[in-house]
This record gives sequence, C-alpha cells and structure tokens, in this order.
Amino acid sequence: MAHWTDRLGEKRRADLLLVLNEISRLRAHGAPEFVVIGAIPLLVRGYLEYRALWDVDLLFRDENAISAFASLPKDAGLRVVDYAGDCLRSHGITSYLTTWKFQRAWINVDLIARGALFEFFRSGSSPPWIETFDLGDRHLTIELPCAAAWDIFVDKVLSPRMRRDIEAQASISVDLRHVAIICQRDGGDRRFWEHVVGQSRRLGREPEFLAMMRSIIRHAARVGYANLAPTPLATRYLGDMR
Amino acid sequence: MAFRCEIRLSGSGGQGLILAGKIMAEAAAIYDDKNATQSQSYGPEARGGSSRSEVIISDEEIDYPKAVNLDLLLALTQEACDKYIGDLRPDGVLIADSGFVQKVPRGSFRVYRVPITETAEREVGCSLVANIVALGIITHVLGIVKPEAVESAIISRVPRGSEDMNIKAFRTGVVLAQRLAGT
Repeated sequence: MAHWTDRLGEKRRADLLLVLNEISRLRAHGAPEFVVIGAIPLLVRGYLEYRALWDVDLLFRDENAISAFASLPKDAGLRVVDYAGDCLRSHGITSYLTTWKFQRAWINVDLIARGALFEFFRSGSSPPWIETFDLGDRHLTIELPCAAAWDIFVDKVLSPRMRRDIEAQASISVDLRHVAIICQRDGGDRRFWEHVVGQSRRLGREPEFLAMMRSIIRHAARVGYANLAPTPLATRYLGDMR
Repeated sequence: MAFRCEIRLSGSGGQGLILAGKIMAEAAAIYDDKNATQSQSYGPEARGGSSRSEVIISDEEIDYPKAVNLDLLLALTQEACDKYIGDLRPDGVLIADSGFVQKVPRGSFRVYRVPITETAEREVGCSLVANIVALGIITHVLGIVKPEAVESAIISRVPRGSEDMNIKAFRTGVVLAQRLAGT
C-alpha cells in the first residue's frame, strides 16, 4: 500500500517534510496553539490518494495568534515569503498567506483564523499526529495536532462553496470530492453519522447540515459520485431523501 | 534557454480561478517535470469581490515565488482587467473574456478578447467550466506546458466517469486559441 508521501511528487517531498518538521519544532518551542486543517490531515490518514501541490493550512484561535506565529524566529535554512504583506480579512476569515522553502520547492503555508471553528477543530484534534522520517542525514520528527477527518467533513458540507458547487453540478469541486471520499470510506459506520450529525448540532447548524447532506446525496450521481447513493444507514440519520 | 513564466488569473469569487491556478501548477510541476508555485488572494470561503490566482512556471528552481512582471493576465471581469493590467509586461499577453471585459486597455501587449464564459455555456453546456476553457486557451497561447499534462491534472481532480465535460471544456479552449492564433 502506498504511503502518503508518495502523493507529494519527487521534487516537493523533501521540502514538505522539512516544513512540517519546522512547524512541529515551533510548536514544541512555545508557538501559539494551532490545528492543521485542510487537505493534509486527510492525506496523512490515507483518505486522499492522488497527487497534488499540497498546501499546509494552520488554524489559529485569532489574528493575534497568527501574528505571533508569523514573527517567531525560524530555522536559518528556511526562506519565508508572505504573499500579500498583511492579513487578508473576508467573510469572518482572516488569512495570512505565506510560502516556505528549505531546498528547492516552495510550500504554501496558510495561517488562518475562523472564529469559533478553532475550538471545534481543536477539541477533535488529539492525540497529535506523530511520524518520523530520515531525510539524508537528518532525522525529522513531525508531531502536529490535525483536525479530525469527520470534523473536516462537517465543515466542508456546511461551507458556502458546497452549496454553490452542488447547485452548479460541479464535478471538479474539491470540497465535494473530499466529502465523497470520506463518505465512501466511513459512511457504513454508524459512529460516523452520529458524529457528524452531533457536531453539526454542536455548531447550531444541524437542520442546515441535514438539508445539505440530503441535497449532496440527491445530486451526487449527476456529478460523478454515484457511490454516495443513499443507504438505509444514511437515511436513518439524514431523513427522507426525496 | 531557461524560462520563468508568470501568470495571473483574475476575476470575481466563484469563477473557479483558484482551482484553475492549482490545476495549471499541478500540470507543470507534477505532470510536466517543471517547477511551479501557485498562490491565491483570499480565504477559503470568500465570495464575490475580486479574486486572483497566480502561477509561476519555470524549468529551473524558482528563486522568488511572487509574480512581479506578468507574462500573461487572464481577466474575466472588467474590474480585474483594469486593476491588474499595469502588472503586465509590455510584451505580455492579455486574455479577456469578451462577455465581461468591454474596454480593453491600450498597450503594446498582445490581446485576445475571447467569449470564454459564453463558449463554456454554448459548447459545453455549463458556464461553470469557463475556468477550464480559459486553461485551454492559456495552454495553447503560452505553449510551455504540454496539453496532455493539463488534461492529466484535470482528470486527477474529477471522479472517474465524469472526465468528459471538463476535458471537453479544456479542448474547446485550445481550439478557440488555435482559431485566434490562426494555427
């Protein structure tokens, strides 16, 4: 079975591992608390099995934490460039977009704050993901809190992008793809449905989540995700699919 | 001879420009053995307003990852065209969606006014793939990333069995560009 690092591309493998190692080191030396969100948690847990230019998305409690992290002294061999020169603020999201390079490839590292979602992802992120690598003569240790795949599922289902992608029947939607992959792997597990419905309730958005899930499942076949056909188990948790 | 090509895809939120930028970068870096960086201008859920994605492609290591002197600007709205045209090199290429960009700024750059969104709707039946049509145009106009590499990057992002619409959109863009360039 392929390892997740096989999905990185030869030219980018070393840089991504070195970046994750550096972020782990910063965390161990007093960096503000964060959670890895986005595609990386799904990649390292084996959900995503395709090659891409993976970004690292770090979710912080607030903008102050982003600033504190960005200003931490970093490894002397690392180059960091920020894309916009300042935090970008839009629709309740603050993002500070940077790119890091140790050897030959630039790896995007996005520092993000999204209000209450920090607590949502943080509570499901323990224990941290731990993995070690030997890279030439260097021994790398990655130890990072990663968002739980099922929490990422809830967040993606509720994102405004999902509604638009479903309405437009966008087969190329990244969010829809991730939702379909998680659902395909875990949708036969009663605990999955209990978790995602429970988490949507915790966010105060259960009716919206259930409606969106029903919509996704109804439209899934038309955009290439026939595997999302309603099962008796899904119907039990999501209600009538008609 | 070594090259560095700076591309900016600009328009409004919801037009799929960030995804298009990622596909172009993946085509170059993963499927065509080049080096590429990709960046975007806003957070993951932003809607409306201006949006941009930048891709740098080179056959050498990329020393500086930000676009400073554009070789190609794609503008899907008039606002984006007006805002970013000043960043285009004098000998660069402007590709503007003729359905939305009425006033093309003057300059020494090459201009392709193309009905991108209209073509996506008419030829492919879905305006949402205008970003993929645009990728086809860019791929042909620049000629630095193999079309097969872009198709591989597209296919890797869609579920099996549903590749047709997106590949059709891409090839429609290539054909549009071929007609414009007379090649």
